[in-house]
Amino acid sequence: MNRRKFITTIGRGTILSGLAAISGILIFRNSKEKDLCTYDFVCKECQRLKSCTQPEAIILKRKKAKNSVSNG
Amino acid sequence: MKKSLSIIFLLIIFSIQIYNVIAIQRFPKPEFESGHTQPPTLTPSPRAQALDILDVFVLAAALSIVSWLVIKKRSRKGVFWMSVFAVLYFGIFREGCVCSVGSLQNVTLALFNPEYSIPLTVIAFFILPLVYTLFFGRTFCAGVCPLGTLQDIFALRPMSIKSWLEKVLGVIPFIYLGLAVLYAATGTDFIVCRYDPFVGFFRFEGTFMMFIIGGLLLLIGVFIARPYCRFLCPYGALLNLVSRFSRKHITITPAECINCKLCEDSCPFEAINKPVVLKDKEEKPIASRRFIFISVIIPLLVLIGGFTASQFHENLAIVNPKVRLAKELINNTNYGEPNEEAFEITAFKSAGQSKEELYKEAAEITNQFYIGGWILGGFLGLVFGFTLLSLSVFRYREDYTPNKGTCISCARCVDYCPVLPEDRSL
Repeated sequence: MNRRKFITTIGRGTILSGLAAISGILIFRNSKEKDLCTYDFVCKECQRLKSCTQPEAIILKRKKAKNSVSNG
Repeated sequence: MKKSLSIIFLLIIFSIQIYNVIAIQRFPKPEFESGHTQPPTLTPSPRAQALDILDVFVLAAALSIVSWLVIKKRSRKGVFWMSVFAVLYFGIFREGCVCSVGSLQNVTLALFNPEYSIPLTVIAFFILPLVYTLFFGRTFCAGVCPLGTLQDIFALRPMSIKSWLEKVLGVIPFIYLGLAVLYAATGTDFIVCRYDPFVGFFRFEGTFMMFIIGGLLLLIGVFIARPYCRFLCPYGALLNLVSRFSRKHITITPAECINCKLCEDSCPFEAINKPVVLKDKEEKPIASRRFIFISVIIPLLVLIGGFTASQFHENLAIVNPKVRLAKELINNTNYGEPNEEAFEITAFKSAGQSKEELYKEAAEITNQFYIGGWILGGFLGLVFGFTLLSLSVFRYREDYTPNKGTCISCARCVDYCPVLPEDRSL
């Protein structure tokens, strides 16, 4: 294997790993989100609220954070 | 026989439309009693999940067939008919959405904003062409991308352009790519989709400007082949980089090149590397010194680029609707409307958000643009640096070879080569 071929192989491997990592991250995030919410829009008592990324959960978490700041 | 086969083929394609009935809207459209009518949308209606999966299979199959046609069969005719199929299926039938070109923005947004849920189809449309390019060159551009194939059909009288101009204009896709990533990462806009010049033709509807720009590009494309792909396409810029590392790539000659020069002017995209005569060879110490000098100034170009772009962060951020709204409220300019309150301001007031909250949000977004400006400028500095480096390096070639970066594997050149695979002595 000459120098040019070696660099190409390394580059190809790096790009392929990068693409695999991007797909992995995105697929993992999607699957995680699906498991999280039962879509009954009751977040207050939810055990998974901390890691939930649904819009309702985000609004509630923001409100909670605001309240905790104003309460000192 | 051929005619009836093509009719059956088209019937199968269009009958798949029936599956659209499976797509059910989650929430029905609201009915107003005020006489308000729903405005027509410029985006396609939701598709059934089965169709989404079918699209991914069709994409993979089309990529495989084109790669086989290019690498193994070396058939320009086959690639042309796959181009026609791509325009019909990915363009007209799928209404040009989601396309791989636009999907890079969805992927960027999903990476920078975990709240955004990206469909698996979109991930596949982004990843699959890149993977195929990594193994077989830009076969996606050759016969699968509806934007490229539409232009390819119009490339009737291609002319050659100066190589320096080709190099200079070739930087534009990287600028467009950087801007598209910046705007998608900040959740501002999908500029590639907004300014897609051909989507109007695929949907048979669109703004007047969309048709004018698309029509102009097609007209230019008659003489300068694939102008959008070569001088604008941001996904093409990515594929250009990835293709340089491809495992296999189309070759002009199936065997040893006999330097007959027949293929010299066959490429409408100026993507053939010509042999370099040995007498042109310059002294090694001079070439090495120049190489080292440019390599040293590349980090400097990155810094200068980053600094310059970061100084324009406010100009770049103004495209963001929240930043624009905040600016309009601060300056009390009402979006230039002299008579009545702009609907953006009315909507903001009725939403109940305080001005302070909006200003804070706008400041955060502007700050993101400042950081993004550094990254964008640095990236562009890197592109300029590597372009300079590539211009300064002379590679000595004995054969006519395709340029792995800019060659879109259309297979036009193979028809010009008289060398037969079996007959090496020719």
